[in-house]
Amino acid sequence: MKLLTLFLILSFPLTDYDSAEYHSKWMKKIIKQSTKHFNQKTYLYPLETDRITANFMNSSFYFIKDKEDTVLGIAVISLTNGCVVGGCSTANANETRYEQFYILSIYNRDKELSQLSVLDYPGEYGYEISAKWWLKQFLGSSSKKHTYEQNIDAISGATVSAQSLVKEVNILNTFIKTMTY
Amino acid sequence: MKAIRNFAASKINKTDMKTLYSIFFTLLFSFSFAQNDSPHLFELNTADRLQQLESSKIKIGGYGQIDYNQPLVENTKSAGTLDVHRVILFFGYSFNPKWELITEIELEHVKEVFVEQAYFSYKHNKYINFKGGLLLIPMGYINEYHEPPAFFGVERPLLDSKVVPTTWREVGFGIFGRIPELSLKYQLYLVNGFMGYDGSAKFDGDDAYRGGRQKGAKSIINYPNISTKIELYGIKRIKLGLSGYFGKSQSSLISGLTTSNEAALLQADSSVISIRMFGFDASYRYKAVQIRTQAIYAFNKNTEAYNQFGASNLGEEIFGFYLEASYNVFATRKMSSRLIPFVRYENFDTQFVVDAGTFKNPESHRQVWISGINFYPTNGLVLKADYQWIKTDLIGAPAKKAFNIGIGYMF
Repeated sequence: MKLLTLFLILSFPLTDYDSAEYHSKWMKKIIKQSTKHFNQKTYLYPLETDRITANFMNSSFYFIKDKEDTVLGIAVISLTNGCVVGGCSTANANETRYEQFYILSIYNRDKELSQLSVLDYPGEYGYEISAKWWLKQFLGSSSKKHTYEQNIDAISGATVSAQSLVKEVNILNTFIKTMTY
Repeated sequence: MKAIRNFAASKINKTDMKTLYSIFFTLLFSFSFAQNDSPHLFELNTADRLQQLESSKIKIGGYGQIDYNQPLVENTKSAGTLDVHRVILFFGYSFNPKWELITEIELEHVKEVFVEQAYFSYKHNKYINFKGGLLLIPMGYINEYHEPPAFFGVERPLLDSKVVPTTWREVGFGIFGRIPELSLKYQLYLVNGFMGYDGSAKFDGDDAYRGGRQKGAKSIINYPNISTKIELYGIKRIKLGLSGYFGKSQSSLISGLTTSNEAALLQADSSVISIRMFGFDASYRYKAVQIRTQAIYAFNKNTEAYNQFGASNLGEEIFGFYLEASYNVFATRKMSSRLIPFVRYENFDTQFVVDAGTFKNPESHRQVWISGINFYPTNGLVLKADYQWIKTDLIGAPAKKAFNIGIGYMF
């Protein structure tokens, strides 16, 4: 019981789902992850909106630069559909039932997806997609086309989240490939 | 929006922390705006927008299955059954991003109405969340993932019917969450237990606890039970689940008993068993291949007194497992439909060990082979066909064979 109480107390100062601090925590996370990834201090610059097509209304793009103002890569945060509330074995067109989640993609100067992570996953089902081994399958050239159950392993109980993520990365890859930076 | 972004895009002087912070927070606002301006909401007027926001709080869904079961007995004409096995309506409501209500109303065999789930959940953070109401007991895989598109074969695995009494649900409360650093999900609930005796014994040697499910319907509680499950998803291509259930059965005899009435107390004690149940489930996915296994072991105490008192034959130990393999043959054809042949072998004994005073029924040990196909023309809809072969230890008894066809859906 003591252990449970301690656990509860420790858990309370942690993240909320919709607070400003939550977003702040994410931004810190992006800077932290890109700094770690490029092994130097990095700075984020939002990408001009006219360069972003209508496909990416649910995404935010940032240039990652070093202190010399050189572009090291691009970071993208995208809102993606997770499992439907109440289950995750089937996809559905009714978006209101999705538990949405954010992913962070970092592309390097060679337009390779060099890091992919799930920033947080609110749902009770479909969380398996945040496993590092599964996300690793997407890393590499943006020319790669990913197909669920072919070059990307399927995940039981996370069909919707997994397929959404495959689709999202494919769209991002196509866009990044056409960019010059 | 653009102005904010342009402002934020001005060059950051790394020596000026104030500027850095102001840009940082501007970015935050920019980021927050970006989330809200989804293409769907952007073009709507306020009334539409409110309506959409309100409707997005309401979740409606459902699943169900319609089956045709045809027993195949040599030299005998057997009647098949056509059954609207279950139609489930799902209603959920998000009061706010943290508080949520989930309900599932089930119509079984057309005319039997049940509430399958009805609980409130409070999402605190990824590490810890709370849930209370009529909950699914996390034991094995199928009890939680019991929608027809989620399992192979027209009917759920027999192990998940005869040993784990799917859909097993009771009133309770508890915590659940994930520790992403360990790729671990946990659930821990305090729930009501099975009804072991309500004038007659509810447990038996054929399907163990199934008759004891209270399902939250005027359920009687004497002893709360503990249900827990840990799932590990960090190992490449493998997902593991470990479930535990610990407690005592409930009895209608433990009501209005005076502590001095020793005879009545002894009688009441004989109507109660204690249950320790352990589950292990694992799945391996490689491209379109899936291999899944599940094992359940249960140990019951006080079965000798219980069986004598209630003239029953509940096993002291119950054990069973299954192994299942499947492959989506359409995976390489870039088709949205899926055609998945599968084969499953089940082996379980609801009287794995019996106490000295209980007769072991050879029919309690069953081996099941089932093979068939699940065809998903689109996500959420499944057509199923399978052939089932069940053999018990009863000497001279032929194997029971059946052919099943079904339609299942989930939306």
